[in-house]
Amino acid sequence: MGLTGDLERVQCLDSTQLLDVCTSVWNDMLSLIVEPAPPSFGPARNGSLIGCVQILGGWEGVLTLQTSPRFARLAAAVMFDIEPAAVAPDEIMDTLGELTNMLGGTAKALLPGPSMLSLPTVAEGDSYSMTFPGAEIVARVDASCAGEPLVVALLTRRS
Amino acid sequence: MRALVVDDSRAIRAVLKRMLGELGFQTAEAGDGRQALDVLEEAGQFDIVLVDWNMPEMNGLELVKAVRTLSSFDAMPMLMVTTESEMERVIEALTAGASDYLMKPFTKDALLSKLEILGVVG
Repeated sequence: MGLTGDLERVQCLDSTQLLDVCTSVWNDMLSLIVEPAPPSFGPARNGSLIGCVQILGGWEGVLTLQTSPRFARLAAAVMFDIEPAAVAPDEIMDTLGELTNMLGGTAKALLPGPSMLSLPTVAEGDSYSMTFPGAEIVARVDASCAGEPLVVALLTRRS
Repeated sequence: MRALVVDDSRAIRAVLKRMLGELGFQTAEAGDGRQALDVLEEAGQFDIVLVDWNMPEMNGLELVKAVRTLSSFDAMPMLMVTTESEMERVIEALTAGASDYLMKPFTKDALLSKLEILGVVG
């Protein structure tokens, strides 16, 4: 499932389109299925990781990916083709950053452009808080993959 | 066959290395454009160079431009592998000397198709 290329652009993505973006990346890069889940499913039960990437240009905002340490380890194991127990912490952060980057890039292709992506950033912990002053969530996907929570959100400047 | 994968993400380098290995390539890696130039200087020609766009130090577009100024590498296939999917970016990369363009996320079949179009395999 490819969402890049000559696609009709929209002013902003809704949650269904954002889920399509997530499904495309997960299918192509991880061969894993993403399913919608209730917000109560996650993500911060035993700590969590969050990846962020900025979209700058014709459309300006932030895409975030929040998930559990267990899923982040699984995704890294798939991408590095090693056992989950053998995954190193920097491989987890690298994988989350790249998945966030690909989500941002695929979303960007659907939004007004031209735009550029920032380099992704990843944070991890039990009690961090991350805020984007002046921004509001315009689309959010609560999902599960391999029994673990995923939350993908798209934020833009508050109008 | 030899491939050089240039990407700041180790995860993407691992995925590409595995896919290329299954297609019969031996793969070298670089984490940014400057490292890639060092590898090319030391190892010489590759059958294909796969280049990410957004990287620290020297980005993929700068790498393509730098490589194309070197007469010994002017015909070496360079495939951009990137999330920069907008037509303006594709044209910018091709104008700079990239041979073709593969969007992230990608599958092994999509990679193989690009390598076939470039005449690198099959």
